[in-house]
Amino acid sequence: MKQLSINLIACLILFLPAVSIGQSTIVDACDWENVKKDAKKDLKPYQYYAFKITKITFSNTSFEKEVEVPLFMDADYRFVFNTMGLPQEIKVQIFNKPKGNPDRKMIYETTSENNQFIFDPQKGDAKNRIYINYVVPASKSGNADKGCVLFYSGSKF
Amino acid sequence: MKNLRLLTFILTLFLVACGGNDENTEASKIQEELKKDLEMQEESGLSEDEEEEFDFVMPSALQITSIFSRYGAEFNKEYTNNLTNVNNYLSKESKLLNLGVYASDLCYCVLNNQSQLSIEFLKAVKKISEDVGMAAIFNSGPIFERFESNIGNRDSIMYIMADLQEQTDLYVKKSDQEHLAMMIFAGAWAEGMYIGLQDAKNLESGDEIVPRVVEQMTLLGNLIKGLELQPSQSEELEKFRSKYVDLKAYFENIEGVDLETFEYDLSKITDEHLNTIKAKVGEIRSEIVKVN
Repeated sequence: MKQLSINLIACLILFLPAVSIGQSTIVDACDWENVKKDAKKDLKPYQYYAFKITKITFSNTSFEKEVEVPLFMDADYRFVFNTMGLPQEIKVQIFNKPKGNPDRKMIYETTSENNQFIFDPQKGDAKNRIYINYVVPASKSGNADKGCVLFYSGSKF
Repeated sequence: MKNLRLLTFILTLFLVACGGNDENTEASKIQEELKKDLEMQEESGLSEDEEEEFDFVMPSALQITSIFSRYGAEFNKEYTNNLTNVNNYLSKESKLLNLGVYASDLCYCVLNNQSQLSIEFLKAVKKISEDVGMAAIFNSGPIFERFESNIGNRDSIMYIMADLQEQTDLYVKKSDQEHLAMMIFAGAWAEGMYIGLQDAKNLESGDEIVPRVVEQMTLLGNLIKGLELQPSQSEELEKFRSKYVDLKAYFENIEGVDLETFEYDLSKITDEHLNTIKAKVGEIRSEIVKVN
């Protein structure tokens, strides 16, 4: 009986802090299903091409996340970004080449301040591929807050 | 991955502390399952981030077939998969791959104004979607009614097809099954390429279609990555994957092709290269549509 009580106390000491840490640190601002209609409206007159949700978890250091988008020569494209689901601001950069390529050039850069923005890549901006780079700063709150960027793409052949 | 390790550690301590001298079989089972999950993740080499999302997007069957349709000859039903096969694919892998195949066939029919056949292929897409538990993509609206009432109006049908693709993408995201989209894409890519190469009016070095073929070939790297990131790796999946790997290896060995930078010198693509690519794509496609 005494052994069981000791075990129970040890169990509470070990387990409860783990639960409370979990509850206090996680804030998830990602609600992409509610904002996708707004993003889709801005695709017009382009036809749906691709959709991507990039999940972001802020940490105590800044980091980058890159998404590769294939492009076909015969088509024109529109990119719509919705950043309503982010708990704090990030930078969105668009490049013609992947990270590490010596010919990499930035084609476009903005912040998530506007919540929704459009980018229409021009012919000659990139060949075959475009790289979307999300520059995520360190967490302002100090917590591992979560969020996401909604990316809609349209095309015209 | 780190979170899972931490959870396993905490749970182990919890069980040791709370278990006393008695065996807690239920808790042991959970612990065992967590251990197994951790081992599976370690074996697959996937991090939590990789499991959560892919760092690329893929085009749809509609885009692939649309690109090739400009260079095609007359419509030929022989290039499409047999509609009667739709009930005969047994494994989840072959169902998903053939969902992509039928989606490409549907696009090929639509782009060539084959109204009645388009409806038959749409039915095949619906049937196989239901078989793999994705019936919800057809429940978002009256797709069949819209399709039938717009038959003959190619632009409207194309928008409906794009909507169908969007519903598929939204469904796999909502249900956390993006890996399914990668399987479907692998089938759609093989069928789109197969039809494009079979149907081409001209397929010789320097022809207009060559840059389009090469463009599609550059998608192989991510296509293979998508197959490698499938949570369950079966022998059947490996058999399909190895065919795509073989095709990629052939392509990247062509002088002037660099798949790391996606740079290529079109003047180095010879008739022999094009014919070999055509033959290898045909092999992949035969393996996929084959009924065991």
